[in-house]
Amino acid sequence: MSVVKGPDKLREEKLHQMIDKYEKDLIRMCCAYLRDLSMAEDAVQETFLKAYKGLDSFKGNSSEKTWLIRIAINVCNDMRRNSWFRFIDQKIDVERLKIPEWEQNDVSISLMMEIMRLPRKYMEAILLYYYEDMKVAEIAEMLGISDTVISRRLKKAREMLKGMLEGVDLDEE
Amino acid sequence: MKNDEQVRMLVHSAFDKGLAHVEDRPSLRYEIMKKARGEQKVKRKFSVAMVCAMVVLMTTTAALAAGVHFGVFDFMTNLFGQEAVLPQAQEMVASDLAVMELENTTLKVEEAVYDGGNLRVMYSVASNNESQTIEEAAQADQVSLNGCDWFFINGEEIIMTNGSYFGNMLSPEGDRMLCYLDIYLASSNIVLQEDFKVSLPLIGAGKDAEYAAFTVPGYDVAENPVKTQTDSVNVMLLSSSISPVRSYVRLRIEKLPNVSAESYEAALYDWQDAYLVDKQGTKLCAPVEILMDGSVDGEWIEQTYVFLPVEADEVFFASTMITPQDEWIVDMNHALQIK
Repeated sequence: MSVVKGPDKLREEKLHQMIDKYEKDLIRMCCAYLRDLSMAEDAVQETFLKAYKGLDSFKGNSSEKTWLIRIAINVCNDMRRNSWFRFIDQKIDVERLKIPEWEQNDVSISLMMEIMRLPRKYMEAILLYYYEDMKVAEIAEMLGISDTVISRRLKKAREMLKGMLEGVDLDEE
Repeated sequence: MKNDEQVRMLVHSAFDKGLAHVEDRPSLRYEIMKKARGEQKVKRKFSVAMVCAMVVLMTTTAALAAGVHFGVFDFMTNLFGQEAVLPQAQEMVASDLAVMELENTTLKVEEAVYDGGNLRVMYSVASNNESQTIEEAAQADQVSLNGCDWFFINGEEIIMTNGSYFGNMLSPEGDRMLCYLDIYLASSNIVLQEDFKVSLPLIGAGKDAEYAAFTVPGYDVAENPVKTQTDSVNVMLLSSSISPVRSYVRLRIEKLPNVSAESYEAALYDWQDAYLVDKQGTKLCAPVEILMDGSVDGEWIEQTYVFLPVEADEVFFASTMITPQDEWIVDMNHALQIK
């Protein structure tokens, strides 16, 4: 992506493009982080506003998507640190994820919920590596930790999900 | 064991299916553009004040049947299910703590309990005359149905602590609003072994606020440091309490000299993945929450683990470790006895 400078209209156009391209992805990712669709939408709103304000400072050292994910993770972490989140964070509620009733017992949904139940660092590793298809080195760079640590987190996360992963038949999927 | 690509497919499938209903939202785009243009100031929707203003609708508990006592633990049961507290926890509850008769409302502090980590308070607000709803009466008397964002403990003013929350609901009888405050004192390193006085500014605002004042029994928190040392860290048990409400373990983990940052971080993971276990190493309970108490300067960390209550004669706090066979097991060699 080229550095955006200049009139507000150009910046707005860029913001439009980013929303077009990444809105759904970011809402899904934030939803996994926050376990709440409404909060995820707030987080995505905040993410795009921060990105809009920071357009001039984006140097293109990472992909646009990685840059937005990094902002979104920071926004989600800010929300998670908040007192209110502690209240709603106690359990995962299909209602807050707005999952249709007829799908709530589906094995894929159960796996998603199980991933969301992992401690944050493991959930984060699984989400970024397997769902956002980021490389270990990219995740490490984004989170400011070493490749080894990410690999270790992935290993442990897979171990924690072992029962669930083994129980899902790929053919059925 | 499935390979990496298979796991990737499963995770994609799980999230794509689970969040298939999440689509682009035109209204969200509209909001973003409006705010980006500066047409509307961005709301900080998660400030402490706002947290306290949030009305949490609690629903469906057995206690909702008319005439059944609804107490401080029933709010917790709503959150944690039936295993929320042990039956003997009821003995720790202080009841009928304060009554304030105002022109339009009656405010009662019905129950409070302190378990060595959190102070939980339930107060009620009722309208004094039938022509006014509870909300109208509370507004007329400036009585808060939304808790407070500061308070006094033994005369010392404290800003609402990190990790606290508030909820309210109409009583099963429909005659009063039940308001619940869960104040996480441990997050501010406040430990109260003796009976202590609490003052909550529930009427009016600012300097003119009036306080509901009452006394709550303290709780015996063990503060005998126990240490253990692994290859990369020193681990010190700073304090622990085991109560029928919750159990708390506060730990300090220090990096040993000449240990690499990666080994140190790996050890921190092992200690974050810790459990309450019995003498044989059987897991009794996983933490429901881990909160960082102290600062991290790369050399040490202090954190508090919160557990659901456990029943056992001897209780240990143990980290996990990975075996050469890649199995994660409880590490009893470095377990710390807390009961």
